[in-house]
Amino acid sequence: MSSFGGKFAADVQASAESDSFGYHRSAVCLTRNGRLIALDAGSSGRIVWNVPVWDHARDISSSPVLKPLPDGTVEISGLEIDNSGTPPLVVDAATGEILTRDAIRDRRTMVEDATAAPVGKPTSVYYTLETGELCGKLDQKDAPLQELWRFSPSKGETIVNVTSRPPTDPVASIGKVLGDRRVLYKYLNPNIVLVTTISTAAHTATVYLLDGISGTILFSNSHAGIDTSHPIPSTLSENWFAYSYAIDSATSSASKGHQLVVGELYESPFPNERGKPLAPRANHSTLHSTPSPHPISQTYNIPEAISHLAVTQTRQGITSRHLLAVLPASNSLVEIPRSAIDPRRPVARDPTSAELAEGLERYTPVLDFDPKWTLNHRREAVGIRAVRTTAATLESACLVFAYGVDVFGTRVAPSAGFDVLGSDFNKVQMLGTVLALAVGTVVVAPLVARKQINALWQFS
Amino acid sequence: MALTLSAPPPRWLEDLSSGPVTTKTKQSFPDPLGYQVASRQQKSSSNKTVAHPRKQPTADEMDTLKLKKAWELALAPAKQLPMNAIGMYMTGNSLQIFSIMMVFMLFKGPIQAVLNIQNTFQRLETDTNRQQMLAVKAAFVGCNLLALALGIWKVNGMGLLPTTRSDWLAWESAREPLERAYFVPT
Repeated sequence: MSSFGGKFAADVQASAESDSFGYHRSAVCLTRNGRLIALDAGSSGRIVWNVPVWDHARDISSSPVLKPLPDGTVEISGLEIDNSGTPPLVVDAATGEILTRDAIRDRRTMVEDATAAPVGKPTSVYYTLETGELCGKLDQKDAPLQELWRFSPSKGETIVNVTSRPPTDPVASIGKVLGDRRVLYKYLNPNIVLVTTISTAAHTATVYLLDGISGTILFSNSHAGIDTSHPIPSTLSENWFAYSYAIDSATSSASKGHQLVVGELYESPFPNERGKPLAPRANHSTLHSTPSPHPISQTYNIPEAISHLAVTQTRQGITSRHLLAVLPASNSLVEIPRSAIDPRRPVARDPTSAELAEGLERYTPVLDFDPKWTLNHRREAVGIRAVRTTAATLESACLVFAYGVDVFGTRVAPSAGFDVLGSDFNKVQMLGTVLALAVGTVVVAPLVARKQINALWQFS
Repeated sequence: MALTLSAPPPRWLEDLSSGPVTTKTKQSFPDPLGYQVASRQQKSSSNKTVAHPRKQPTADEMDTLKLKKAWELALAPAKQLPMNAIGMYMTGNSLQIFSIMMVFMLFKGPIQAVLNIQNTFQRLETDTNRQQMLAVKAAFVGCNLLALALGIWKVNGMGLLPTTRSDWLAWESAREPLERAYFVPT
């Protein structure tokens, strides 16, 4: 498996023409052979630059991490070539040249002068996985990190996965509007953590949703009869989460195969309520009081295994978010729409007219992947290791980049391009109509004026 | 300036004040009820109703007549209500061009009528019946408000009035947490 790390660089103009839609983002990828390559997402993956980072193929001891920095550079850290401590490499994202220390310093000071430090930076809590437990530490000025909370799984279980919300996760609307015009308020907590633990002996998997500041368990769900050799991918976005697992065929469970669980968190089970413990205050701290959200979740049987999950992202969060799933068995990437996996789908009854207005269909336990959902169409994307999504400048578009053995990139519009004029819009006809109306107005105006003046002279 | 007529008044002035004159050559058709003939020729003795000159109504009677007419004008919008209600029921609750036009008419009519209320009652208003005219005007405004209420009810039925929580959701903001948590991968 090639150790391949890739991240999108921020706002790099990879193409010469003006990029008002923001499609021309660079995907900077590091290959095992030591080459750093930038691909232009807007020009069908054209290679922008290709520079060698080390001279020939070596065995790198750890997997490197690429991080885009706000000053237009990409920092590559974790490159331990020949087991020697290598300082992080900084590369200019537009040209690919490796920057010297002086150049880095110049750039950093320029950026820091431009962007002043934010006033009132919130207190930070850092949580790490150490000795099989998740530990949250408070960042204090001039003092060592103080441990705030510690989460340890049940006996016999080990933590396999820790997921958090994406760093920029804009939410356009704080409530879900129901069909009868009431509002279900979403539980929007940017600090939630999804922890997956498995027990290989007992074939169980448990999923915990923690609050990252106080360590409180907000939601937990346990599944029995799991095949723990399969990965359990999970993802978190605004107020919902999704994870997938495989059922152990050796157990006598009635359902076999693979399942996808989708859950959503709301502040209160009743519409128009903002959750009792917290009055509608502008800001709050979960250290003082942690209201428990009302979770709704549903499970679906899916036809094949999912190895990785991701969620589409857009600039302002207005577009609906679709779930991206990597299917290794068919070498494909599918985009599952939210309406198919909405946890509020009515069970064992037909949807009411209000639910139909929201677009909810009756719950069916089997979720078939519609062939139209496959993003890579007739091409095969083999050995995908990760999927990255980033927002374009245009609100309705999202750029998707999947890499592994194959590299696959595409642009999706989860809400079907609502802010772009369609290609069949007749601009000539519109201009012609406007011109004809203008000419007509100019021609007819004196006639109307004359008629009105004559009318004044007649007896009313 | 007063004009003094030295000559006798002209013929047309006499006709104006005395009403129409019929020359009854043949008395084949009887006169309609209430028709009074000017007594130009008083000599003809007929067995018709006595023709006496059409009296000019006194000021009081003019007032009463004007008031009655004003009341008719004031209550006219109320008579339009059933027709408008049926029209609204027919156009339905969806946003179609016809229902939008109908709602627009329902709003425009009463508002314009209330703004032109002075013009409408100007001909009928005299100095003496001003007090009663106030009641008439109030009734006129009331009927137009009823028509406006019908328009508002229709708009509510179409779901356009911001009466529910979801209409004001864009002004509500999420709660900001005071701390942020970050994952540090080992």
